Amino acid sequence: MEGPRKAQRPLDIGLLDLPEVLLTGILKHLPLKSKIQSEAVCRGFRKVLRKPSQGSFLWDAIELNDLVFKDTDPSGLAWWLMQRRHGIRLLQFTPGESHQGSYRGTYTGQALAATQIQRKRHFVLHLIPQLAAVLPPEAEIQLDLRFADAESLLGSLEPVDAGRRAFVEQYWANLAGHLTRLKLDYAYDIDYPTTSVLEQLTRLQYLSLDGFGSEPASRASACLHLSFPHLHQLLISSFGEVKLWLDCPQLKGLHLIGASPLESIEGIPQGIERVFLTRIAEGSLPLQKIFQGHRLEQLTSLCLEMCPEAHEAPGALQVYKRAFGSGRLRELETNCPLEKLTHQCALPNSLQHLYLHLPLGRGLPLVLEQLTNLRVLEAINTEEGLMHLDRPLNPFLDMVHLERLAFSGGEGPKMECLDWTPGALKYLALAAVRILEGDLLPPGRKLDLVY
Amino acid sequence: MPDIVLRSNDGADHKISASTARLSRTVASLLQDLEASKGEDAELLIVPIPNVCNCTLKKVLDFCEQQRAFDDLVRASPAAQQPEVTRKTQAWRETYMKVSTDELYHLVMAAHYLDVPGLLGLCTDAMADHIRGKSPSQVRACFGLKPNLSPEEEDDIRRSNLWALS
Repeated sequence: MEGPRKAQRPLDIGLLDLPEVLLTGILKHLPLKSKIQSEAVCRGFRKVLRKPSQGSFLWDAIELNDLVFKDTDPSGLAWWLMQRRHGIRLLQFTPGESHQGSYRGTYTGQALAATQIQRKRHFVLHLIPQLAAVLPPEAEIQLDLRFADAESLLGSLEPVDAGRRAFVEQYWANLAGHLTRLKLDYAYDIDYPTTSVLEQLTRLQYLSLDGFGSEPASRASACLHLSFPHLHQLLISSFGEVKLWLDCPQLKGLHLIGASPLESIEGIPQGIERVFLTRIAEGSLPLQKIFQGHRLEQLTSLCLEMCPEAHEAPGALQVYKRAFGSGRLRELETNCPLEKLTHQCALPNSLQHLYLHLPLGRGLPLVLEQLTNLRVLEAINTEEGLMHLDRPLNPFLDMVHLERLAFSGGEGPKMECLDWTPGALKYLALAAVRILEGDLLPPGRKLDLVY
Repeated sequence: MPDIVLRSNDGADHKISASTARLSRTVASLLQDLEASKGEDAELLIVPIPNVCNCTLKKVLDFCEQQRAFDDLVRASPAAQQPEVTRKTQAWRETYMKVSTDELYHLVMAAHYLDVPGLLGLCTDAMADHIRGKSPSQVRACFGLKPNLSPEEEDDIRRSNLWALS
């Protein structure tokens, strides 16, 4: 079809020959300081950066990261932002690792880093509330607060410390009309009195609380009563004992990672679409208690990587039955023994993504071959010893939607190296050859086989 | 459904699918006009692209084909797979954008004329890479620009952006 008569290109062009809208589009990508410094390049740049009609486009979303605070007077920055307040639609405060306050290196390096922390801290505690007071009503603020700042703005507010409590309450009140996303790293026990000051944040759509506990034994506890009318996503990770009461009618996604244990949870809304309960330790609630009275009708993604007892209690399988019955479930990850699960309820054919934790010493269960809509099937081995396949993988290769078939060894040092039986290796090689030769339907279909 | 052919300004024809063609808002609009004038029974629609040469048009269409494939993948992938899809998309785009400055100018102009939002963002970001982290004099050297600000203008820039220029 192609048949060029002669390659014709326009004459050489330069940056300032581009239409103004393109130069604006290029400058829009620059980080804040580079954008400002670009004014000093030439008149062409200055004209674009100062043009009032470009103002709202060039300066509408401002990200304040580590680079912004390097060698920066925070008051000067706040003053500059206030001058542009009418055009700001999104203000993101996203500090990097240096915000945590752990430094190595030379004494001078440490001193400089400490100065940078102080600047950011001053900005968070004293200048963000001022900016929030003057931004247009529709402007959003997104905050990512690390340990010391989060502690200053939550902390255990003792009744005797009335002045501090008033400061904290007023701080969040100032932000209430703008804050849509909040991420807090907080390494201490957290409870209702601690977080009650956040209830003023009626625009909040995303909340993440990270306890940063690497070992279950050393994790802080979280006893939370969260009430946010517009919250869509909630992520709570790396806390020890977790007790959770939710009053968030718009919540669509709940991620609970590493609770050790999950002691109670109430108020999961009926409209929830995605539930991820991952690495939930022993002593946690059984499944039927977690989803008591819940119809699970809207659920599209469900991840239940729980302690064995959560799956073993009577009625636990009823939860799966309800989730499977809706016909909407597209993604499932579970470590519930498959035989037990499928004995009571068939896996729904609506599943497109399936992640199974199972012992692979006996091969893949036959029941998986019936899931003809699968796009991704990952089998994560849960036992030591050789993994096995007792028959060819052809039924999976013939699934017309399948894009990825993967086997992995799960977690733990002994699982790093996978070992297969010779019989399994034969079937894996035959499958690999079929894929290599393009012997799949429909023609041209790509399939990743990972083992 | 008629066959769709895009014809570059140097006469090269590129046959593409309707879904790929419609990733360009300009082409989508031209197609609408052509369909209206030629009727539903037309078997072939040739869309002239007078501002874009063959090699640039080919490059733009490569992007559109990939974009369509990635869009399908993103729609079909669950949350857990999104990072992997994003990584693959980024890797492909990095390779795609390994072009000379001259080619980049032509590509950004073509993306602007054809109104392909994803490609326009990618090209302007690649151009911004040549500015990012450079001082004003380094930017001037990179793009062959002459310093033409008056001392008063320079002073004004310094005063109004003191916090960032110190």
